[in-house]
Amino acid sequence: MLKLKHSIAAISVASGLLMVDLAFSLGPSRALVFPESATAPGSFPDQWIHGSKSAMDNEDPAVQVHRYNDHTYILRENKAINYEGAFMYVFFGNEKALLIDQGSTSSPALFPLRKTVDKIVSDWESEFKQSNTHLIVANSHLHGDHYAAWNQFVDRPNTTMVGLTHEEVMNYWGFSNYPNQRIEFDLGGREFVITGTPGHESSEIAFYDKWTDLLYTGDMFYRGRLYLQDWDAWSASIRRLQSLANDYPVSHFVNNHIEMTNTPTIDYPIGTTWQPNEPPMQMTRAMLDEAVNAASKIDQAGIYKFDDFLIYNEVPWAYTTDP
Amino acid sequence: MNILKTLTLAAFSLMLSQGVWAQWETDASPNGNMRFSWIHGSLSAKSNKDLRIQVHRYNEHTYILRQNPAVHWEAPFMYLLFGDESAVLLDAGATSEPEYFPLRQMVDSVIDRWKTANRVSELTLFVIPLGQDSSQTSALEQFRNRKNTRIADDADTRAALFGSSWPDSGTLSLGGRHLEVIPTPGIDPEAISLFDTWSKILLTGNTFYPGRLVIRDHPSYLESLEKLQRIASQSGIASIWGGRIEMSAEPGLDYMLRSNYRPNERSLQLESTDLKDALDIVRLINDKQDIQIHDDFIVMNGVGRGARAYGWPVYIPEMFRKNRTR
Repeated sequence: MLKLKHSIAAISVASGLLMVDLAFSLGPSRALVFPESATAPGSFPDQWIHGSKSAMDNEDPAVQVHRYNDHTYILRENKAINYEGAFMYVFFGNEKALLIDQGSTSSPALFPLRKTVDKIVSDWESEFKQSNTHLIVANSHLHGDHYAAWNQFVDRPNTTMVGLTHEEVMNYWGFSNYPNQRIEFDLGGREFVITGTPGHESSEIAFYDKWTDLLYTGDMFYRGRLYLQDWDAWSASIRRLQSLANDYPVSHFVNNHIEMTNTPTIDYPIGTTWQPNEPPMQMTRAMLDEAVNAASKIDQAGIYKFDDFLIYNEVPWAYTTDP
Repeated sequence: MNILKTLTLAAFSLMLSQGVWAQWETDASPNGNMRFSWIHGSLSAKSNKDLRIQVHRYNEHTYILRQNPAVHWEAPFMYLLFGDESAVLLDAGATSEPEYFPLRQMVDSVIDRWKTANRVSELTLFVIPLGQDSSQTSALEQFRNRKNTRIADDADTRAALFGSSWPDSGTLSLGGRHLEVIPTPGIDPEAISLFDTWSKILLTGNTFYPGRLVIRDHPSYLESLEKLQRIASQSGIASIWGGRIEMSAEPGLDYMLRSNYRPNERSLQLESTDLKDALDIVRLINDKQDIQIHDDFIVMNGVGRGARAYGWPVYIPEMFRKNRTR
């Protein structure tokens, strides 16, 4: 009986391999292509989920899953779970998927990110007849509001955990000259350019996707309070982003948080779990240029306001612009 | 002799039939129990299953209410005190919608139970915010149409309720139970504090509580604390109850602004020694721009949340600069 079971298992494994072989032999026709010649289009939601006036009465999903296009997903953590309302990204290539950032809550019961990502991957695999997709769990930078659910992936099969130390991040992406270096990264036929953007945090990296032309700027540049740990590093990094945007076409600047209201210069109070009138998350080249200009002017600690972001340069916790 | 007996009995039964009987004159402060943790939100507010309003019966005639931090991060405390003829609700929470924060319904049910237990049929309710902060006034509207209710939320309604010497000082009688009303501006220009002469409890709202005391008007705040200190030395204070808790149980460490999960909160009650310390600290600050961290509260003058109207860019003085991000 035992032997029989074994032989059945052996047969099913063999047939499984055969199917994989068949899939491979069908090869090129099934392979996804990510041409760089044109910008692959995508869309953003009119409104992201944005918490509730009374957080305990919130009925939105724990993780919002937005399909930007067939092979690009943007996820947002519900603000009623954690006020950071952090965005996370899933990029797909042939046999590979890249998850950037893992939100602000560790508990899978409260914030089932692993379950959500597993479902995105399996749905994507069946839709595009892919299998055996290898997941890379990476981070834009090493702050707790962006890696809290990292733990949910440690026992995931067929997964690479990039790691949560500066050394692991540098090793994985292959930086020998951080932050100035540009790294070419191939996600199964989908080409990325990665560069160092410290200033907010000292291991931060930015991702440029040559297929969608999205430039992902993490916590370094987003529609909100740009908290700067190291002013010199940040002003060099914002120029580095500008030069990347000069060298490659950028469709949208995407990032990690929304903290501004849709009234220019006015941000939501820090810690709020309800943002009923958010502006879009994606940003424009003009906004980046404004930040670059600011970088050449600001020379003092303080809070500086701009239409689409605020710069918090070396500001202690007791300072907020709260009413 | 018989007549005296009859009279005494008659008086006694009259007192009983009228409900609460003379108990307000006791020398000793009535005891209450505070040995428990308040509801304090949860890691994910979305998954919170606590009551929207926690009600604690401190003693027979004194109730403390707390708003759930998962409904609003301010999680303010409200106080419901009963006397022979009236009850007073101090502060009205941080959320206006009854479906999120059914304060009126909760207060009504506590009052109904109290009336039954004490055989009282008519009871006036005073609703008095101790300041004008939105964490103290938001559910006021829920009481607007309530019968037998007087709301004192502006100069006129306060003057009508607090006696002829208001706004210098005031009194509020609940029938047998007398409260002194003290204007205590400094953090909030409209702030008042109440002293319950029966329980010897000082109710200080957002003027003095275990949290970040952000002074907006230093001379007034100093004067306000001096007034409270005078009451403490003249009458003796059993306990000081403020409007919220922002400190953790770790001495000197506060929870972040808008934190809605505070599992290790400091207790609510402060003591008269804390008041003395606060007075010393506020004198020491002497209207300088400063932050002073005490084990049980933090005093900030000219810095911190909304301490002044900021120009742009917001300039950070050298002494407060530090490299720190979230």
